[in-house]
Amino acid sequence: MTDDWLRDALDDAVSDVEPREALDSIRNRTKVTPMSSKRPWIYGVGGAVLATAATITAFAVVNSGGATNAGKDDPGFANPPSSSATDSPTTTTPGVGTQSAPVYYLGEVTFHQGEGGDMQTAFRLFREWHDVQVTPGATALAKGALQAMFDAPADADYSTAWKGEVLGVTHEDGVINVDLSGISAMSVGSETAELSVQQLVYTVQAALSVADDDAATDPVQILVDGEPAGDLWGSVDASQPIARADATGVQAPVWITEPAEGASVAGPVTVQGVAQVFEGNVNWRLLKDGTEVDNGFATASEGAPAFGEYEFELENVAPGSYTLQVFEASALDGSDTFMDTKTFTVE
Amino acid sequence: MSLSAAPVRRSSAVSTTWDADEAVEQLYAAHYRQLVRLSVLLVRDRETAEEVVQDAFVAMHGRWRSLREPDKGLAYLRQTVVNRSRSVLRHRGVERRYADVLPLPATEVPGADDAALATERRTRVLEALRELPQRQREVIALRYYLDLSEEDIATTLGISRGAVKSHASRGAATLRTLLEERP
Repeated sequence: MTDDWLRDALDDAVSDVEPREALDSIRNRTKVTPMSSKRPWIYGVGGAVLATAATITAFAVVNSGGATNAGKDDPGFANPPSSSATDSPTTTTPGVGTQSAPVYYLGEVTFHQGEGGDMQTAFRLFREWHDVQVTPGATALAKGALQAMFDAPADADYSTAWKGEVLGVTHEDGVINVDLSGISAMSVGSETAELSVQQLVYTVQAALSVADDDAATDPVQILVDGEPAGDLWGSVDASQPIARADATGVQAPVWITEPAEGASVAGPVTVQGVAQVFEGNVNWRLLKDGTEVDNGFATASEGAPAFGEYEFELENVAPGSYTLQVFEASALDGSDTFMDTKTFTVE
Repeated sequence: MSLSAAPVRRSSAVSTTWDADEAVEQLYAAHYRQLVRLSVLLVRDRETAEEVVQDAFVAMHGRWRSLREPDKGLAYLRQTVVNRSRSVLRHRGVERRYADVLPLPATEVPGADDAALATERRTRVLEALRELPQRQREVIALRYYLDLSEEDIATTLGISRGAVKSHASRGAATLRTLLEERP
């Protein structure tokens, strides 16, 4: 029996679909900030191990006690980079100059979902630290962080759908106001739109928290040229302040926080990260030129639904360029899910 | 091609020197329209399909370092488009859009012109596809629209070749029935 009729029917059914030009929109979402301008403190530091050891216990955990959800279960909320950073004198005090700001981006994760365990792919939030230029003022770091969020991630695995200019950030009367201009209507789906709005909320709240704002989890009003933004991407209502969403389903369950993408580090390499995985078990795999050279597992300080911290060491790594994958092995079939990857150089 | 047991790792002719940006440009030029059409077969709504495929390209850009070859890039795009089309169908917004689009208003003009007839013919096929269980719809689209082999479909969907066979034959039979029912 020939099925040519079916072939013809399907061809015909979509033959009038002429999608709109989208290459520019895709390009805008995939641009990357060259590494040379990022994280200078990683480079040329003799005690690179020190430099990679983020003060992971010193989370600027903020708990407003309100409906927001940036409490202890969310170590990813804001943990500023190491105080041993070469530019550290300015990292915690608002002032003029360059400071490190937490910036969230979208990255794709793959996982099983539903009764049949179908493989799903979706975007979740990942965080990078970007050096931003700031002027005096409590909200300057937040403004710089948001501009970095609009620009581009350092890690090519991540992306941003935001485009435009950040006019300013104010925080008064329990509302964080973020004033934007020239935000373009890049075409994104409703799920990506909702996550992108949380990307902005997470970024501005984390930056305020780093700048010692003790009500950093207040809701965020997005303004465009001073007026409430209304509909964003045609699918998110931004006419009212938007609350921080629960990290589950928003923040990627596995992050590698150290080493950073593109970093140069001395061996042995200490790897640190945050994970929201079953019983805290994360797996890792080290690749050199695409070939696995080592693997192992680590246990986070807490298991899901909490976000815990994990740490392990890569021993006996020869100098060279490596890619590290950290993931949760699927309970269903052992496949790699929720993977984060970092490429770095061992000196 | 990597099956040859050559001890020396060499940049073969198959793997290109494209960087991630070039990979996006090249694969976009060659496959964007077809991938959007594939997604339309799965989710019906054109705008949603465009968003799904754009998201897939953004994701592919992020994975390019590990993909590196055009064939793998395309396979990844296909897989991501199918996965994302499936995810998006679970999202209420799309269900609503579906409701907006369907049903096709009954054409009250019996002697409709060719364009109207073509639209109705297409709508019937898309509606019939919608009647299929999700897995069957995916297999049918990959088999008969993209002309993928059973093996490639099995890889794309992460199911066995046997399952591909049975979904394909059941889906095709159902479609035949649905499309022959009406005059």
